[in-house]
Parts: sequence; structure tokens; C-alpha cells
Amino acid sequence: MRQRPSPRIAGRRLQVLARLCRSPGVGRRLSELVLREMGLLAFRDAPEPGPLKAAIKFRVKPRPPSATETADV
Amino acid sequence: MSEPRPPGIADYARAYREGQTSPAAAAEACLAAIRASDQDDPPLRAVITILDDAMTAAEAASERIAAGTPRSLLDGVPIVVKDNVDVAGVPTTHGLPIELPVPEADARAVARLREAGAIIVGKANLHQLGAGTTGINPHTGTPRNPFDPQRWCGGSSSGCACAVGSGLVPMAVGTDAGGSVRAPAAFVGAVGFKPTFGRISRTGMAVLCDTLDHIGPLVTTCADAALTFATMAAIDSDDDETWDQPPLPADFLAAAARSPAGLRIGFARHTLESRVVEPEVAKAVTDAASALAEAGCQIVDVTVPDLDEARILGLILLGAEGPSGVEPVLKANIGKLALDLQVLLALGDTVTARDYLKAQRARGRQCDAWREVLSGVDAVLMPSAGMPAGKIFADALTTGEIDEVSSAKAISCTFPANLTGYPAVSVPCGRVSGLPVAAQIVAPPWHEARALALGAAIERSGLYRWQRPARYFADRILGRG
Repeated sequence: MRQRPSPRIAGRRLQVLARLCRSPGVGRRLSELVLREMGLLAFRDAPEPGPLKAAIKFRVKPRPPSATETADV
Repeated sequence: MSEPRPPGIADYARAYREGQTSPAAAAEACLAAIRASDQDDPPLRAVITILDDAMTAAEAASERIAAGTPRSLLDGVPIVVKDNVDVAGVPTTHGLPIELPVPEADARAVARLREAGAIIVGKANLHQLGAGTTGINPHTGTPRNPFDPQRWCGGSSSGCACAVGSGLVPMAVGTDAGGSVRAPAAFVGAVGFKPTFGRISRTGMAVLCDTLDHIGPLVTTCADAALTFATMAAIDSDDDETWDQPPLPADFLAAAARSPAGLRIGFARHTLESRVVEPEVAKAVTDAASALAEAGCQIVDVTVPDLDEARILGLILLGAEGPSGVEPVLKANIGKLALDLQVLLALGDTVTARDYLKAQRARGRQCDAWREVLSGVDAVLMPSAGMPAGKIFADALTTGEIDEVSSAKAISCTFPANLTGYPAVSVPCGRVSGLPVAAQIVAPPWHEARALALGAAIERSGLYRWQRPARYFADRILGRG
């Protein structure tokens, strides 16, 4: 089985990665490769359960219910 | 026989009251200790900016205490503030090598601490822009773990953790968008507390992610977390997120110290099998569950939403919302930034509006699932950071580093409470190879006292036995040695 490369990127490898990321076109493709490695693109491609809500309707902040309760133990 | 423990705020207050030292003497010793800590090899690098004008406030506090009229238990106690939170007249650097405007006013949370008499002795180091889990900062230096200087303190509140863990101060003001208070606290054996979203005003804080970010204390005990949280928490007319909060109960501090006997605790045991939680940490958290059972809690297993998904959602939200307030400045100075930050900003650029909206929908589902879990139990027990503090590699010191495996272990268990906005406290519960590890209690919204009472029960169990780090400063600051 093929060994996965070390997940840690620093020093010279990070210099190269940062330079490539700043480069138009290459940077975007490279960023997407990194996002794929981090699992973000799998999320992008995954189907959503149930009917989609209209984007404008949902609350983006985690505001809890307007509580009148007190924070007792 | 009482266990040795790091001095906390009550110890400072007692030392002042009994004349063992004074706020002025303590502040002077504290400022000297911060300077000395950076002369060591390697330098501790807890603090970016030392505030010598703290002496004026400390002398005033000394007079109040000598007259028997302290403002509060915090009067004369030295603290540091993470350098993404404003202190009037002091640059807020974000740990960046960029000149930024100097704030004219304290952040509201800082102002409240100052009104209570706290003495701000420095701005604490951080991972650049608060965007990282190690605290490695090529520009301001990397805070060293008090228990092993070859290891980091975590991030992004790295300097806060370093300062509290090494006894430079008993309290630090940190910020937490994905675990940046709780994980660093876990790595240094401190208590890190993230209150309910909307409890502490973010006016004067450089918000990394508007929908995830919180202010919270790093301290040595849950009692100090309760005290400093209660001092900072308030409705702020300039921060509408604070407007809906119910008042803290009059007996909040007593409630946060009360026995948790009879509470029903959901143990998210399945998270211990996750790839982001190391087996030794899992064992320590299991011990914490046993300690709560011995304290009279009923322990039942619960299933919380997927940790990997929570982390990915958090990263998408951070990437999309991330640097919105300071983006032009960052873009204009991109070449000066740490290389890991440069890459993260590039990654953020690839997050689309559709990604963001999809992530917010998924977040809503995670919030629903957490609400369901907490409808059946009083709080949830799970790991804080899934690993002990990691090693500092030489090649990272000058460039920064990206390590997805280590980052995932550091913050996967803490991200859910940022997605939901629920209060969560990280409490030390053991050691792995001499390094502290911690459990996390997550409570329903506004139930900060319950979270802290459970944290205090884990403290009292003695699972975590504090050992004085080789470089430890509180004794000399308190005039004990």
C-alpha cells in the first residue's frame, strides 16, 4: 500500500506552496487540491438531505432562543 | 492534605489583603518576569507588547486595598489581553508584521475588567490573525509550552495560555472561533471557558469569523472562570448579539461552585473512538466521566453530531467570513504574512457563496441535533483537544506550518460549541507523558453556571495533579520566593 506523505508542510515546502497559491490560475487549482485533502470539497459535492431551504431564510448566527430562563445549576 | 495547585485570583486577593505583597509590587514583579521570560533560551514569548503604564493603575489599586476599599476580588490582579482585542492607546497587532490603527478605547470586555480593578500588563501573543492551532508565529515568536519548551501552547490564544500556564498572570482574555480559548488552555493545564454566543460583547475585538467568534477567559480554576466571565458578561448597546441574553442569576458564583450531584450527563463516548482523539486522551476523559459519577451525576451515553463534519463546516465559515474586516490590508501586505496564513487566505478565496450557504444549512442541522441531545441531558462530556501539546519543528519557526492531522486533533472536539454557540469549558483531567490533557463540558445556552459547576467537580476529583513547570513565575510575583 502506498505510504501517505507527511501531512505537515513547513519550511521550503510551505514556501513553494505559498508562492504557487499566489499565482493566478495555478493558485486556484492548488488551493482546490488542498481543500480536497482537507475534506472540504467532499462536503461541496455531497448531496444535502431533504428539501433545500431558501438561502435567504435561514439564520446564519447561532443565536440561542430568546431565553427568559436563568442560568441555574 | 491539599494538592498543590497554581495560584489563582483568590490567592492574589488574599496576598494583597494579608499584606504579603501589594498590587504595585506584584505588577512590578510581573513586568520584570515577562521581560525575564523572553531572555531565556528559548524565549517564552507569551507577550507581544509589555504595558509599563500598568504601574499607575497598580499603584492606585494598592491605595484602595490599603484603605480597605478594593473594587472587587480582581482589584490589582495582573492580566494579559490577546492581541486581537483592543486596549486603549496600544496597537492591536493581530500578531501581524503590519502597522494598524491604534485603538482609542478598550474593548468593552476589557473595560469591564479594568473597572473591576484588573491591571492589564500586556498584549498576549497569538497565531497570526488568530487563524491557526499551534501558535507558531514567525514574526512575534512562538510561545513555548511551560511543561516542555520544545512544544507549542496551541492556538490561536497561544500567548494567553503560555502566560497563565507559566504563572505570569492568573487570567488572560482570549478569543475562540473554533476552540482558540479551550484548546490552548487544555495544552497548558489551564481552564478555558467559552460562554454562550452573545454573552460577552465583541465591541473592540477583531472578529475573525462573525458567526463563530467569542471572547472567553483562560484561568487556573473554574471559580476564576466564573468570576472573570461574570465580570465581562453584559448587554452592550453597540453589540446587538448581546441584547437577548437573560441576566446572570444573583447567586451565579455560588451556582458555579455548587455540587453537580443529581445532574444527568450525556457522555459522548463515541467521540473517543474518533481519529481526532488519541487513546490516552480518551482514557483521561473516561476517568473524568467516572469522577462525575462519583460526584453524584448520572452518566448516560449520547451521540453528538459528526466531529469531522463540524470541523469542515467551521473551516468553510472561517474561510468565507474570515478576514472580511481587514482583507484589503492583508492583500496589500500578503508577502509579509506567515506562509501558513498566506496559504489559508488563498484557500479562503476558493470558498464559494454556495459552499458558505450549504455550510450554514448543515450547521443548522448540527444545531438541531445538539438541541435534541441536550433536551435529554443537563450537559455533555467530551474531550477538549484530542491530543497533548505538539512538538515545535525547527523548519516551522521561520515559516509557520500546515498540519491538517494535528489541527484536526486540536480543534475537532471544540468546533461544535462554536457552531451552536453553546457554553463550553475545558478542564484539565489528566496527563499524557507529563503533558496536560483536558475534558470539555458543553451545556445548554445561558447555562454557564452548570458547565462551570461540572468543571469544578472534575477539578475537585484530583484527576489532574498540577506540577510546577520548570519556568514558573507566580511565586516570585506573589512575593513567595
